[in-house]
Amino acid sequence: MSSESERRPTRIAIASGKGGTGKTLIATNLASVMSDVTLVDLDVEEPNCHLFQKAECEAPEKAYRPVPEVDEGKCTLCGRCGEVCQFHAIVTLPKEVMVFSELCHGCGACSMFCPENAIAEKEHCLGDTISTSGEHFELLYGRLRVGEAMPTYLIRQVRGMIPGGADAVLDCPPGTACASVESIRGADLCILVTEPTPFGFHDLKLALGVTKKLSVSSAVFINKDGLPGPDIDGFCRDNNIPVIGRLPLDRDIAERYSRGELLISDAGYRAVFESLRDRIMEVTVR
Amino acid sequence: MKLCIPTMDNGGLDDVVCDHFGRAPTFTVVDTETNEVQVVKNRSEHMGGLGKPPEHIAKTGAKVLICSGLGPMAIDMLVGFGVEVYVGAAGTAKEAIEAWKEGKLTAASHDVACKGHAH
Repeated sequence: MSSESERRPTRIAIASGKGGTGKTLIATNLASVMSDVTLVDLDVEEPNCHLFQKAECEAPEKAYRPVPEVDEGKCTLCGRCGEVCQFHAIVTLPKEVMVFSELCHGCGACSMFCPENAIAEKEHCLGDTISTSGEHFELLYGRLRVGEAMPTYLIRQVRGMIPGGADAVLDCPPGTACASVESIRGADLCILVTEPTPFGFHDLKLALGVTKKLSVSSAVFINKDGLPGPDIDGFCRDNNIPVIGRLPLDRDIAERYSRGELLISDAGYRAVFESLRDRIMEVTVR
Repeated sequence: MKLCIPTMDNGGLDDVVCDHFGRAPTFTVVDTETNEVQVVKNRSEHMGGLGKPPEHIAKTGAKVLICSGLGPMAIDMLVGFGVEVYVGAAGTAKEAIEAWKEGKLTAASHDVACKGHAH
């Protein structure tokens, strides 16, 4: 049997195909019943975990992405930078090089391959990263600057700040696109939060396609259980996906959530999340 | 001299000018001296291909672009490639060329550039 000290830190991604299924509800309450855990809000376009942590906000740290800056004196307009750019973010015109900084992923290929060493990297502000300590969990999150189109680089930066020795609960952005892929990638377990509605079921299947492709093992949490919708339990049984927890459709939960309260202050709800935590430990133990 | 018109469908002088420059399915290129018409499919990144529309248009040898409207970055790139840009074209490609010849179209600048994709 593995003891605490033998376990390596576990990364638990809380994700969903459809938005509004309850990722943040599950992530905040789960983190609150775990010990020595960092809650990481990777939904950098709309972070909201901090609303559930009554803590003084530490000063945000600015986050940057490197974008190319071309020295026109050195540039010979050879076009190599545009050839190596996988994101069409740099184009050589007859008399100048044009940079589309909103498309740049900051990979550095253009400056690496420039034969004239004419490309330097300047810092483009993406937003900021914030870490706070509260009563129930340590929180780490990113906040994308308004108008910034690409969340992935900031998500990677926030993930890189997770303390090495501690478990982490990752509250992921919804959907199945780049931002959610970047958030789920490398997790030990991905809990897909869903609801028994046609959209919830449809997008659960899409999200399962993502976790499968990323080789991340997944489990399902059914929120708003009791809605007369698709048979998610049956689907999970047929596909060997564990249903790891559930919460009923209950106005009381919505009211507490809307007030920024954690459910775990109620003993009944607390038991739901403690049992979820224990199931996670069983599933992820090696 | 070659003129380029973003067109709605299969291209040609009777095809209609496309309202959305970057996602026009075809670019109709007309040589004003020989009246030769060439149709180039839009294989830019906007259509799942590679490169930006102005790069593709520059490769056709066109010196004038006649279109309904386009964004400021597209104008800058076309100007960078030495292509003159005129906006306000409507109707068929043929009608657009006539309007341009009669001086009825507006030379593009940032002041007349599209601010978004609503047509």
